[in-house]
Amino acid sequence: MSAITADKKPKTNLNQRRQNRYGYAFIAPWLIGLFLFTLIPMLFSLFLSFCKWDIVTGLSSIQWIGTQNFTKIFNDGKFYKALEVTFKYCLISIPAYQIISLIVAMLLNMRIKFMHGIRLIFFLPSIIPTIASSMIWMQMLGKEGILNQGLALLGISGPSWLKTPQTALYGLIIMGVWGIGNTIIIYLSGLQGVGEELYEASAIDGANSFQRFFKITIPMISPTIFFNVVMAVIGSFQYFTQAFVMTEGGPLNSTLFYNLYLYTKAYKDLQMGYASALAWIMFVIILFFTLLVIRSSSFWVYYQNDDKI
Amino acid sequence: MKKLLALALALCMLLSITAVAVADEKTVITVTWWGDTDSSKAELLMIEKFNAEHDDIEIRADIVPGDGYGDRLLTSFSSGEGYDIFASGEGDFYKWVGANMPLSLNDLIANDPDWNNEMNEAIYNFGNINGDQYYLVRDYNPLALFYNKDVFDRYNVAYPTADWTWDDAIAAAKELTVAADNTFGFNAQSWEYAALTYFASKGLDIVNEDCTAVEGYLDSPEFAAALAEYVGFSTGDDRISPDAADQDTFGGTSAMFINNKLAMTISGAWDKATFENAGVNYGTEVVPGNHDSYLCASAFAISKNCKNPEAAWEVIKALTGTECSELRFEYTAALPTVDSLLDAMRADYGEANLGILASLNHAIQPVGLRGAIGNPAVTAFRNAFERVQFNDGTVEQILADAVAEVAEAIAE
Repeated sequence: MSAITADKKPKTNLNQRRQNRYGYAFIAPWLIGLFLFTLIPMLFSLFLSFCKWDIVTGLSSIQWIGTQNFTKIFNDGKFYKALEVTFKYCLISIPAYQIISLIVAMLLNMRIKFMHGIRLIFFLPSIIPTIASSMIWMQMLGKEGILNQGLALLGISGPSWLKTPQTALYGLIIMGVWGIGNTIIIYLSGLQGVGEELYEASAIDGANSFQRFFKITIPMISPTIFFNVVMAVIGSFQYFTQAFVMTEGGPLNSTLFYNLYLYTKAYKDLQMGYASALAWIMFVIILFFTLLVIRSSSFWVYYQNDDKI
Repeated sequence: MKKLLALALALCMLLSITAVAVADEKTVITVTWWGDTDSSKAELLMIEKFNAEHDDIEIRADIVPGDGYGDRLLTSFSSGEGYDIFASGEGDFYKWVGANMPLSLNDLIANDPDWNNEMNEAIYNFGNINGDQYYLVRDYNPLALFYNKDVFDRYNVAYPTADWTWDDAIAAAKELTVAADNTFGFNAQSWEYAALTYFASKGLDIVNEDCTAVEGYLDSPEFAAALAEYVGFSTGDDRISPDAADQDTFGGTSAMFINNKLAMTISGAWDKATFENAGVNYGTEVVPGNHDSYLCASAFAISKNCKNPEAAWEVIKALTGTECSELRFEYTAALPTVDSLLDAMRADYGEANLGILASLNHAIQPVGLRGAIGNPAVTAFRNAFERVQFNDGTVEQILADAVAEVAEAIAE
């Protein structure tokens, strides 16, 4: 018996090693890509954050300046303005988009005729290129745009949303609702995973709609909410394209998002070292808030499988 | 026999490789500028001719759409590839020199005594930064007062004349502003060239004469009063100029002018084709006041990374020379850089556009080109203008901040 085992063991190891090699071969393109196009640029940008470089005169002109970029950033009024705009956007848009997405997803989860077509309509804006939708929204948010025409029906005279410092950021937030199709789809899949038996049991126990929503739906889809919130935190801090196309940070820096300021420093002012330092500060901020959400998840995210342990 | 055949084949292959190598001996010069094939007909024709006439040099053009040009240029140079010759607007002349991108043409000019430079001296000197010739201008435009004759006729107001003061212009603008028709008399633009032309034509500037200081200029009481007045033109219910929301509503300056909703605006010759094609009944006149007019220009420079500056010199001469200037006028109506051509084309320029030509006699260099503090001064002015527009403090305080901003930029 032991002789047979001794004969078989090396063969198994050989097969295992061969399989491992195949595995590594299959993931090699991704690993090489990660190394070449993510890790190396990241390390290079970390190095640049301690340097002065105008990016156009070649690598030979890179000058080591220590922590000067970081010292300058913390004395830069526009840095704080960019942070203020970005945080304001995150604070308003993240909860607003999650609530709206969840409401729409619940409506789309109803069993009515033509629901597939209705779901498609809600998802459609998400596949329109951002630049194209930005151009459309620039008109919609204009003084005589469709938004103000709607407000006029209520007797409200709306502003030129993107040309007024007090409203430009809110204009961009309103526009963001247009692009929540992906979040809706993820919520919808979460809602469809909630077992009917739970609702039936709660109905027998006499639970009303609100109780069912807060005691069953929310806990059961909390992993989905968690995922969407993490993605929203990362995405909101990286907000760039719409502000770049529609407002260029104005008027009066009211839409000067952090990434837009970073871009301006890198490609308009030719201060790549300064921009790299800004990027690393943003990296730390995003990391902090993402970890905060992840750490907090143990208090509010419910995983069904945990019960089985 | 087989061996002989194989040898012959190998010999043929070797010869063909040699032939390719010989053919590839042409020096390739890459050139980039912004625009499209329609607006670049003159350059493309010139390049075709140049390539046909030169066995040793081949020009390869890369025309980039205007919006993405600056980014394309930067990313291309930062990747180490870049272009041998690149175009720049005058607003960026100092920026590129500061970034060490263009090659000083001084040595190339000195080593080419046969070069017949027919360019107008003032235009040629546009490309001179800190005593070095870095750029050769390809086209330029003075700013002039464009007026819509139909709007003037509609409200029975006399057309602008060369002896108009700004008081005359504003009085006319008030008559031409009719809220019921959504018509505005004057366009007090936030575009800094138009705004600074307005101030210059009133004898005001944001820097001193040798462009070394802004104190006493950008923050002078006279400038503060003029800035407040200018911004006031497009503020409030009695405004005579469209504000940002109006521009938004009516599709911007050109659309408003074309649709007879705007009577007067300061602009350059690039609008000539737009207005002519749209069939606008318009005229041009020198800017009111002392007629000072900002001159906009674009130019070519040889990159410092260029491996064949002598070949690039031949190319840049062709692209900015008399022949190309003539083609440019023929295809895009750009003003010729050569005096003799300028005199010859006056008759064909059209009566409506004579104000543009007259403005040439009053052309002044933009602040950004007058010295190293020019660009920071313009940036500070732009920021101050926006703050005044949105009442972000008193005009005096905002201009004091602008002066501090320039000082900070210089210190950096």
